[in-house]
Amino acid sequence: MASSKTITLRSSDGEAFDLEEVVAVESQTIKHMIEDGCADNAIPLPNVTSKILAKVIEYCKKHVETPKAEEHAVNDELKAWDADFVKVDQATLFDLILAANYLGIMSLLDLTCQTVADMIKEMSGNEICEIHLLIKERSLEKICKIYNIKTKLTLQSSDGMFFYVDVAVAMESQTIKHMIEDRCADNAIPLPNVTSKILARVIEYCKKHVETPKAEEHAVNDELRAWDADFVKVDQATLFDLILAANYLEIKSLLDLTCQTVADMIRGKTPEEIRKTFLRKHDFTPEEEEEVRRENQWAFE
Amino acid sequence: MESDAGQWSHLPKDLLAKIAERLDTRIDFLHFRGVCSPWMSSVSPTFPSKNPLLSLKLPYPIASNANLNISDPDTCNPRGSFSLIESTLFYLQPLRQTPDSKEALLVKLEEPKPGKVRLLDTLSRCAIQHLPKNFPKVLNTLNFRVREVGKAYGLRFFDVRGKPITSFEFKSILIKKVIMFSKGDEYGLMMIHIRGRLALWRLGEEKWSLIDDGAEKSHFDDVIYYKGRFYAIDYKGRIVVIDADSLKATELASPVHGSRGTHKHFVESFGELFLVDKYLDDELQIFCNDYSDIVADVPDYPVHFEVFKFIEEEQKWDWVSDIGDRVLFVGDDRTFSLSSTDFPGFKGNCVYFTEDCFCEEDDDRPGFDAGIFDLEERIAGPLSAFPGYSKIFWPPPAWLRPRPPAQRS
Repeated sequence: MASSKTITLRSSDGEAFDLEEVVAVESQTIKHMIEDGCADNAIPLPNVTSKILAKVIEYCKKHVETPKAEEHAVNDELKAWDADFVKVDQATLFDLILAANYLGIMSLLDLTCQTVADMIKEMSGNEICEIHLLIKERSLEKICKIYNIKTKLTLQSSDGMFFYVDVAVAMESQTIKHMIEDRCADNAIPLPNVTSKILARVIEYCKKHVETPKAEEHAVNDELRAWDADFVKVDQATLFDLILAANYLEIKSLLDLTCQTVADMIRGKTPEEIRKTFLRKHDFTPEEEEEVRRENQWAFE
Repeated sequence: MESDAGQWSHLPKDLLAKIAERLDTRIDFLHFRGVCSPWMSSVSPTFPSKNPLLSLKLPYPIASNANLNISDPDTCNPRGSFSLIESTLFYLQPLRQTPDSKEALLVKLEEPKPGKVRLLDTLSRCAIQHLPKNFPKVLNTLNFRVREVGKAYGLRFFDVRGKPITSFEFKSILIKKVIMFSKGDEYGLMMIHIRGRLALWRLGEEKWSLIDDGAEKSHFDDVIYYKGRFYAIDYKGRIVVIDADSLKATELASPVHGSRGTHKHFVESFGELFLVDKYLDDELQIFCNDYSDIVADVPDYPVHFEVFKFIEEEQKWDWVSDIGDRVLFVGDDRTFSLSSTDFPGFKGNCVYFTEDCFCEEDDDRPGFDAGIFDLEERIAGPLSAFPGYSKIFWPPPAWLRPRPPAQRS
């Protein structure tokens, strides 16, 4: 039989795409559906939008048309075509990875993941941050592992312990983000000002904040706020160290949280009571003491 | 890095300053400065005001006299502008207090300059003209415990030369009540003019906007900013809800519509909205006076309140007979609420209010016409009728007066 059967695919947004069976079976997933006899009507692809499906079909068509020749010329031409094919925006690239994975098109998955791995090597700190958030959002860590896209960083505390942390989590610290930008992050990042005890807590905080979607819904924000409130229920020494660590690592939300906690410990107390709480000595010069007395006066008109 | 006595002294100045930034009252800020030398030098001596509306010239007039129900022509209006006047309610207690002790004083002070204070009547805007002879001119707030309870606002008119004008001659400058509101970075004022019309102004705007509540002649008693919206009630008990952005007013079901109560007020208490309707039964009073020989059971003071709580999910009001340990304060310039457990000295499950017939001979002292309505007993009386609770506004107790100077050795 010379003529190939026509397969109809339907994208998530309802558009229908007709293509020859020989092209459609580049996708292992669709191949299995045809073998199981589920392809008589349009095959619904709820995970793939029409925009992405169009591109995937374009890829499959080209790869079916091009003979897998021994000649380098043809292969080089195909490679050049592939290189052009992946010159798309990041979001589209990630959608192509997801589609290639879902549809079981190994060569497309190879191509797109390798592209991302190469991109990351050239990226600036901000761009890497965005990429890693995208990877986390779309649960692509497994694939990244296979393709050697580094998603974790090593941090070293002052007492020599190593912490293996997701890049997206480590990026909560502006200090670490700048180090990545400046290419200082290929090996372990030393943090001489932070002990392992404190670093562990800081990482716990960053993880929670990266994982929690910053929703408009009060429920989610209230839950995060409650978690934060529990997080700072620590002894004074730890609170003190957390402030210094948040400051050194430039984690604004943690610094705000810890400073607010100390402010709450000060509120409503007399100076003497504050001194007792924070073990401070009354070390004013006579002039300073007079200033304190004067500014705490009420002079009635 | 284990805990040691000098640990907090290793905190760099900029972090100390960050902590101080998060203290929201001037008292806390001053106490922070008074802890030790490094803490004092980490912040400037001036507490940064969290209120951007103070020391601004606010627009005048609110609207044309006709729109404000004033019969004088607009040409009679003085020339000048309004200024927002802030006063603070302070709750004072002795430094060392036994758990059972109810010793406390609630005062309201205006602070025209830091440290210089003017004593005001607690539940109205009146300034106390004369302090008693034995009252100290200067008090050191470190000798007692001070807690800021809240702020109250007023609008004072200043002519073009900067002289305050308080004369009742010009009705257009008289304001019944003004409240401050803020939403994120936005700040503004909502006011009830003396003849009852509502007007709103936001920081950055050149003029006030009159609120159109759909009635021909509005005469509002009270307005409150609650959960992002304004609620206003007029003297007949009609409630409107005003959207803070569009200023559109919609009517809300009211439990006191058509009531013969004389004054209606909103009070926010621990996140809930209450409506307090005051009844002054003139007829009952006259009857009791005329027939005092045959009337057996006369309430001393024919004043009572009906209290309602707003059920937001159902957009309706529930009559309440018990507000627990809460105290609702109905003042001329603001209403507020406290817990009698957290603030000893107040009688829980009560409404504190002012009433002309409670006015005693000496009216130049805080709380001169204040009274309490007990929700449980459903009786009202002046403060003096409630032993144990009558001295909460005045007179200043012994522990407030300065200690005699320590003997120098």
